[in-house]
This record gives sequence, structure tokens and C-alpha cells, in this order.
Amino acid sequence: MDDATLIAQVQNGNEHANRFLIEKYKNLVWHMVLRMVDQTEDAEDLCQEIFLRVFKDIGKFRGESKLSTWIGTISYNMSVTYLRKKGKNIMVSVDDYLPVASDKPAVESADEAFDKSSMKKIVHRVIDSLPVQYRTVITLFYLEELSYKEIEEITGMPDGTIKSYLNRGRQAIREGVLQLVPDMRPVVNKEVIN
Amino acid sequence: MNPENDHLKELDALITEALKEKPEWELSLSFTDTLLRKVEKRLTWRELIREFAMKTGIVAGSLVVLLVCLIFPLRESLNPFLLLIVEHWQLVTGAGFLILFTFFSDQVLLKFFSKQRLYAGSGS
Repeated sequence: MDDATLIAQVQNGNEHANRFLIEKYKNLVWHMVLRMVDQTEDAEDLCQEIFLRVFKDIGKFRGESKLSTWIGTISYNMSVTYLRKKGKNIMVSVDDYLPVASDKPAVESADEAFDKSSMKKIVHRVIDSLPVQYRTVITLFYLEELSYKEIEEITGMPDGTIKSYLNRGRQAIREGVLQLVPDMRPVVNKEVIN
Repeated sequence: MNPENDHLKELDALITEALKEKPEWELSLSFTDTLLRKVEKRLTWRELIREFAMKTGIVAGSLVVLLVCLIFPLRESLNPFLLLIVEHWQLVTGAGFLILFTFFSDQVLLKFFSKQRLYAGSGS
């Protein structure tokens, strides 16, 4: 079902179309919200609020962008509003952010470090410690596989800023992982051997 | 080949793989059904309010037209009646509100709750 047909059906109050729209876009909304507001109990409630806004405002959608981009924009704006209400500062300059140092060792033993899934968990821990804007752009680019233009439409950030966030974000993740697991060489070598 | 570079390339590949992975946390299984119930509730409420506003408008409009039609030919005989209304305006306003509230309860509240019960009873 294409976007125009889906919107027309939703506007006609077709329950199957409503269900289809939710099923089609719930992962996009969930991934954005989860990365922006963290794994809190509020995340699912916020997703519901986002979809309720989508259904309320669907008549205002003019088809100038893809429906996914429009829903992404609503998700982004509502998540930003939520974070502001919670008193969290989301505007961090790309130059201001430094990876968070941790006193706690990321791995308990060398054996644990050799496990690839443990390493991924460490990467996710570092991602979670990044500022919101970084996490959002990284999620949209890597997980949702959106283009720079689509990310620009959703977040309202200029193309250059998005690219900076992506580059600096990756750099920060790399530095963060190396900081948490200083002796990465054996980890990688072991992976290569396996 | 520089082992340090190989090591960083491996790390980059691991990072890319991790970034493309879906989060561990998933939406609850009832997410869609709960949301659809909320959407249905809001749509029903909006529809009932719209119907109520239209019906009230029609009734109020008809009364105004009737009053305008009667006021000129029957001005003399209506005067005492109009005076009575002006004298007891609180009572008239109260009665008006009571009628409006009864109409609202019948047309909106009762219909809304019975629809909700029907929806919940259907198990959807």
C-alpha cells in the first residue's frame, strides 16, 4: 500500500489502515524514542503519544516528504519536547563533547572481552553515553538507513552538522571503547583467528 | 601490513555492526492493540461531539427562527411572556443548562460509554 492510499484510508477511519500504519512505522518511532529518551518506562507512552499526534494531524500531511520522514519529524520534535520538560540539555556542540571516562572496568575478565557479543554490549554502552543529538543522527543513519537529506528533514540540522555528528560520533565511540577496554588488540586478534 | 591499522579496522567493523543492530528492548506485544483502542476512543469522542454540536445548532437555530417569526405578528401578546423571562432569567438560564446537559448526556456520554463497553466486550 503506497503512502497516499494509506493516508486516505486512515482519514476514512479504516481500522485496518490504522493498524497497518502503526505496524509499518512503529519500529522507526520506537528506535528514535529509545535512543533519545533512554530506556525509561516513559518511552512506550511517548511512542503512543506520537502515534496519537500522527492520527490527529494526518490531514495536515501534504505529501511534500515521505510519510516516514513526516512521522520521524513528529517523533523527533516530541522527544525533544519531552527531554526539555525533563530538564535535559540536548544542544551539545560537536566540539564540546568528550567521551565519558569510566572508573569501572568494562569487562570483568580477559575471556569476557574475547566474546564478540560482550564487545557489542560495550559499544552500546558507549553509544548510550553519547549526547542525544549524536545518538539520534547515528540511529537514523545506521539503524534506519536514512539519507542525509531525510535526516536533515527530520531533525532540521544542516547537512554539514549531520556529517560532523556522524564522524565525531563514530570517533567518540571508538575512543570510548578503547577507554573501557584498553587492551583491545587481543580481542580483535582473537576474533580474526576465530 | 600494519597490525595497529588492522586492529582499528576490526574495531570499526564491530562498531558498524553494533550500530546496525536493533535495540535489545522491544515494544510490548499489546502496543498496537492498546494504541488502536486509544485512537478509536478519541475518534468516537470527536465524532459524538461533532454530532452533538450539529444537533444543538439545528435546534437552537430553529428556535431563533421561530422566535423571530412570532415576535413581529404577536408582539403584543408575547410581551408579558418576554417580561416573565427577563424577570426570572436565572431560572430560565438554569433550565436551559439542564436541558442542554440532559441532551449532552443522552447524545454524547451515554453513546460514548456504551460504545466503549461494546468495544471492550468484543475483545479487540
